[in-house]
Amino acid sequence: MVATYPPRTTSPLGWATRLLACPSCRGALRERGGHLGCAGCAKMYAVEGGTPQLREAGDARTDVVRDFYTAAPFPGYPPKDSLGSLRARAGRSEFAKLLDRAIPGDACIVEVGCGTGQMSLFLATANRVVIGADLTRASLELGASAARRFGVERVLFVETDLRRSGLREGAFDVVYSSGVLHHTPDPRASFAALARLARPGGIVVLGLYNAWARIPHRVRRAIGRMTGLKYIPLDPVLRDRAAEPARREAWLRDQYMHPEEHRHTTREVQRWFRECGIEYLRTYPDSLFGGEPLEGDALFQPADDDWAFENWASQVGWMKTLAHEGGLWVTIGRRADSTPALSPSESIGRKLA
Amino acid sequence: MILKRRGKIRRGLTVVASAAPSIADLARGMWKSEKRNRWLVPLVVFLCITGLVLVLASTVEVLAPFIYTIF
Amino acid sequence: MKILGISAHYHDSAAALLVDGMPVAAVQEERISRRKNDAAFPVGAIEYCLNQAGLEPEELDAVVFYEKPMLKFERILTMALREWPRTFSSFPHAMKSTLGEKLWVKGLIKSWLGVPSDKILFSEHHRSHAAAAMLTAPTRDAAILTADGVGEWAALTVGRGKRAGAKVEVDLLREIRFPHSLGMLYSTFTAFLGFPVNEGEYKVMGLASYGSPRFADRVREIVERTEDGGFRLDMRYFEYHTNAKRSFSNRLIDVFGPPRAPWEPLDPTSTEGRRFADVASSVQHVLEEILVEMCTRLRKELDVPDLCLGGGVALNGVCNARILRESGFERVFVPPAPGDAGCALGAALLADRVFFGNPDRDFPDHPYWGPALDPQELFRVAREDGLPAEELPNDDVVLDRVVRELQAGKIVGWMDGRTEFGPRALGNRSILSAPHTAEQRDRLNKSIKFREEFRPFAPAVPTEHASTYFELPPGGHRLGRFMSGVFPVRPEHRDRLAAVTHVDGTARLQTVDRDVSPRFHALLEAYGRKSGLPVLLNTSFNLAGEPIVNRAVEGYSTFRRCAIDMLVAGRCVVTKRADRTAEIDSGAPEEEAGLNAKEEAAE
Repeated sequence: MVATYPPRTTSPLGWATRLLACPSCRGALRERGGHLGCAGCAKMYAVEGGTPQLREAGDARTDVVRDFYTAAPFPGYPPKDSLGSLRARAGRSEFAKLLDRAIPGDACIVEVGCGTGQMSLFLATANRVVIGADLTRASLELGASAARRFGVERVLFVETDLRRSGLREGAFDVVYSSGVLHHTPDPRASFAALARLARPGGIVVLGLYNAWARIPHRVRRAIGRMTGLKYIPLDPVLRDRAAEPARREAWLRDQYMHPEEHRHTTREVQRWFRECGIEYLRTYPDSLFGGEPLEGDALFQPADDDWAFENWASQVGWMKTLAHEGGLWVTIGRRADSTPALSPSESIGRKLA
Repeated sequence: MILKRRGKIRRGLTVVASAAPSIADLARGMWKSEKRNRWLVPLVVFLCITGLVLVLASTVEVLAPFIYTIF
Repeated sequence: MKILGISAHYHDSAAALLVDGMPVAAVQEERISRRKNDAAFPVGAIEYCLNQAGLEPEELDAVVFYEKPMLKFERILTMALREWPRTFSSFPHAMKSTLGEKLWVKGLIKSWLGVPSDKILFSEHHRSHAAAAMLTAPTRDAAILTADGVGEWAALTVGRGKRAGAKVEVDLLREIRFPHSLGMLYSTFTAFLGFPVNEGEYKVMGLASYGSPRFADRVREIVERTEDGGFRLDMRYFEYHTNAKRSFSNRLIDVFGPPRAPWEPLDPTSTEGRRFADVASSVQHVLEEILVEMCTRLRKELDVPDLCLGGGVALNGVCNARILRESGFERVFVPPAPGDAGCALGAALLADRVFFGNPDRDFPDHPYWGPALDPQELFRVAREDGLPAEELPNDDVVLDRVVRELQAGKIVGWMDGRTEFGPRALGNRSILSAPHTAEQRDRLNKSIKFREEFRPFAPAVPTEHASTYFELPPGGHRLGRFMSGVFPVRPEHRDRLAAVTHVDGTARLQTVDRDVSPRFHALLEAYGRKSGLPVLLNTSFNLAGEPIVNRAVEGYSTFRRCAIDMLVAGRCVVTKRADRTAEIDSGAPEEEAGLNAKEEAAE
């Protein structure tokens, strides 16, 4: 086992408590005898296996989703995983590389709906700090144990519900949430809660199922359901995972058996952004015609243009390009700042000064 | 000093214009070098001309985006 | 005469400019375009070269391309037809990738530079390698061996170079042709072991040290030696000549077991990892065996004391060191850029000295031909971001400060002068750290390089102290100049050089000359005075998947994105603020609670 360096002086909760808040009254939390105590309403929250439990009893629909993921944490870790192989897996995705490239090395990041925390671990390099938040304890435990195994120290997993979250608002440079809000009962309200987590000038990265791009998948799913999920035509992810039953099963559950699912359009998401004071930057993949492939830290730079017709036409095009993984697309925005003249990466740098 | 940014089509045409001598060179070279390769010459010339069309028609290949199933 | 050399289209394209026989500039396109291993036509590199000399393209006397694309096309076509119908499925792919821009280089050069056809020359791939190796080395008469994947037809050549007064000759005597290629053999096993071809080869070399060559006999069966001293590959084990997607055949899997998937973890202590390490070790062993024997023969045949090595295979430092020790050559020269990028320079030199017959000139013996650093740039961007940036009054203060940080275990990004030409960072674009502990190595691997733990880091040491810490054969100092050889660390120093000593007790050291890099040399000496050991860990200044930094702002961006503690560019020094966790920790919770409450009220 590799020795940790620099030697750990405090538990990860030490710094991370400042990024958390009481889910009940939004008061600040303090570590007290292995628990987190609220300075405002004096409630106490348990910390089990290094993962704080900042979740109050949820509504019935949320609990259904939670039970769904408790039964099968998604996405699972392959056996014998290491930080190197995790990075190698992420390296296959242009999007993951662009995201890693665009986030400054000393950013404070929250991943909402982190599942088993693979993206959180991937992003927790350099001087970054990452909070991975999820509803499901079983997933978080997998993430926390992987973090210990890989020796990743600057990540903390938190069990919480976005709608009454234990995360401090306005504290994060980057708020990342992909493939999550469309599984919540009211995605629009969930987004409002998500947007509040970003600090002024902070970046919001939101991945959702696209109403157009998911059509081919829904056709596929309808056929699949008719045969009791015995025959599912043309799903490349299932095909790729044929040799890995656990990962195949995870995809099958996530895509074909999910109890709660919504789909959205670029217009709709842009409206949410406006409502919450988030300035629209771009989508990934690009919603412009003939756009050059993104490079360097361009992911957080505003797109050249935002034209409704182009947006619509590219969504139709995504039926072809995005169908292979269920039609998920990403919208990126930036929370309005008092000094809006700065580019996002600069303002992140300045804020930290 | 910056190299002139000519349009893609104009650069393509320059390439096409200078291709004929290159093809002729190759064909002549192959004809002379090895007797048993002579039958290849018409094929090579044909492929070269096909290739020229490709120069003008070539576009940036876009990879399928890979956003959700990263892990 | 003003001659521009260009290499492009397969991996790492580059441009190099000679004016009156002397190099003015040479740089890989990836350093300018910021795309790793950029193989596109090197527009940025050409612009830099011309700017450096203040030339317009029309003023060039010749533009030399490093190989003959038409011959290459002929080879691909011939192979496709010879192996028909097995090549059926890969044929469209092969045609599509060759028939585009790659075939029409003359037109391409014309379209970018506007020079007339008669000024555009074509060298041959391996002759360019040979010239890059021989004409940059301080030797008058030398044997030459070049080996790589494949050029036009040749994959390995031997030859001889002579610089006798005015007359310069670089002649290739014999060649081994595709598909029989040591480079392809190594690359095939690189792919088999789950590493990316053309950049993961050195991982195979690193992994080899963990294993034993227990499969060497099986590899020898694949590489059959011929009586004339050459070799043939048993093509039943390979598919690179017929298949665009996979380079090895099922037969290879039958012999060595299943290949490794790139994202599978590799742990050389597990049974499966052990097998991969043993495969790597066996291939490395056989490669060394063959090359040492070929060089020994060449030494006897040509009876000259010097050997110049070129081609991508010359990046294999373990092999180079064995050739130096065992082949009988007294001196072995490997240029800083032996790969295809170096061919840009090789082709230009060949045109100047041999084709035009210009007078021979000694080539300055250093690799620093890239863009120069502008420290002010760093000063500006760091100040804009509000990071502590200082311009120190003189070099002594800079060195003093850097040494202090290094001694405290800090990691320093070190930028100075002009960018190196070639794949190695040789002290002008380097990440430096104390070389003493394994913890330091792990920290670098984990928080900066994000890479496998079995890959070693390299030490840099002043030439005059090299033998104190490393077991160098005669001529070893020279091989260390551009980090081209792997040599044992003296056992008594291994404990204190743990971060740069590989599992087998060796290190790929760089010997630093005062004349070549005075500032880096002074830094090593200063560190030696304080710590008693004038050795630093030197690794290239880049993050995984990115090219080595070139401009100060790129160094700055890299510094911001990883755990480098201090960035030095010339006399400009930037440090990071307090650790982010400490910063978050120091916030006042009551005030924050108030902030949240206020926002709540505003809604």
